[in-house]
Amino acid sequence: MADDGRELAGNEHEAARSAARRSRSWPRRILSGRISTLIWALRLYVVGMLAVVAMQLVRLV
Amino acid sequence: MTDSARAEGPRREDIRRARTRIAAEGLRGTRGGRGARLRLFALLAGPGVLVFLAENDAPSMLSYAATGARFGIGFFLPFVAATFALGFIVQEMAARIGAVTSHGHAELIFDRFGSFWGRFAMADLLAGNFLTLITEFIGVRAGLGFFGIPPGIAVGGAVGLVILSAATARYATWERIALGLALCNVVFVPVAILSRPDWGAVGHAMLTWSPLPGGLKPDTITLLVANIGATVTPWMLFFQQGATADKGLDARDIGAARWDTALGSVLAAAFGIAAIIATAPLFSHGISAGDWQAAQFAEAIEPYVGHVGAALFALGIFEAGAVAAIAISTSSAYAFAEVLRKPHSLNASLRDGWVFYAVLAGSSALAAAIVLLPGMPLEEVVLIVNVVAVLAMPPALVFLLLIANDPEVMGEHRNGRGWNIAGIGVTAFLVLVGLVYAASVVFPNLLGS
Repeated sequence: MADDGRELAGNEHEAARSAARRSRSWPRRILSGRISTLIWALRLYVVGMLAVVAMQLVRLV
Repeated sequence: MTDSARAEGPRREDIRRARTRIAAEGLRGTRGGRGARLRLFALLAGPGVLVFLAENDAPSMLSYAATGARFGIGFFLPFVAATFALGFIVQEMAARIGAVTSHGHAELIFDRFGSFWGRFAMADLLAGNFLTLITEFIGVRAGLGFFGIPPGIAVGGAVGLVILSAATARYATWERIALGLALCNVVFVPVAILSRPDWGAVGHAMLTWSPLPGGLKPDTITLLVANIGATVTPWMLFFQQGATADKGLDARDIGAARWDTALGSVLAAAFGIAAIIATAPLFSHGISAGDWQAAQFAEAIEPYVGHVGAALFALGIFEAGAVAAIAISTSSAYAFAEVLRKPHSLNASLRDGWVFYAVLAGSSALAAAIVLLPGMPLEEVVLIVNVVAVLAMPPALVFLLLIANDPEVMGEHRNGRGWNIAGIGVTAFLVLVGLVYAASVVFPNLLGS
């Protein structure tokens, strides 16, 4: 901690800037119906594909 | 980040990042010409080279080796080069978002699209990463097995490496260790040279892109998809964005981050192509290598590359597994700690960042333990892990594109039209590849197996 303190003394401004940048947050964005549908469709696509992978694994094992 | 955390002011991780920023601005301010620009690039580069060399992981190098052994070089050399171009398009966006926002990928999805999608993305990533980590330790075990090292020592040593590199609790030290190891991926180049390839044929293959020997068959499609998954996977997005933010890069560094990503993709493509060339003699001598593992490949190519070449190949598979284990466990740790709003930095002290470090160490240790269990169907996992990565990629890419186009988050650095066309093209291509793969598995006679 003492080392950190010494380092901070020289870099205070940049360190504070980094802390501010890292703690910044953005308001939640509401997805449009089309984008939500696309994401859900791709989710279902992944589930379907994983079932196909399972099928292939069963054949291999 | 909670309000109480904000009120604490700069943490140890912020102080370390400040040092990078001050050094970067110092180099920008000097009139040192090309030398200063190179020193600046050396300071800012790292996440891009590391992510691509780590993605040349054990299953990827084994996919390349299987490819060279089964199909030679005609089709796959340009194909692999093209997949790295796809990888560059995707990873540039992740690096740019990390530099502009100083936030990890899971954190941004959580903030912008809500906790449901944030947790979903994190859970997807952790599951895929865990499966991939298992294959990395399979690579470690198989690679060192060539030298007669017992599995327990090989795998335990690799877990120790993952934990010790992170336990330095300094991003810069961790990055140097990981990059130093990752650059050992170059060992596939001397193996390729030792195989005495016909360089004229290699050049011809790159320029003409010959058809696939034997045509498109179900098992060929699996290998094709595995080769794509050797370059484009969800963990790479989370890792590069998290590492770019953790290193302290900001919008002024986007150019350096782009060059870093381009350098990584070129190096990784060259080393991947070298692995294909190294095993191509098996194809030209008609030796079947359908389900081989690392040690078997090393033994099989020994007559063509000598003992040194075979030993380098086995060492390369070990290195590929070890570096990827470091990077993949770190990407899991970033995503988990980001979504839980806990400190998520390799600069965080072990006490502050205990959740982050626990996920990093725990995921590696658990995956390694599974590799040591007797009777596990490990060979099948190696074959399939890159395929799963490709199939899981489209939803991750949609979130990446949404964030990269978000004017509130990205401001003037949001995607241009060309980058959007490329990004949407990659997404559509991966969906199509998945559908072709599914058709080949569900209807194997469709392609006349």
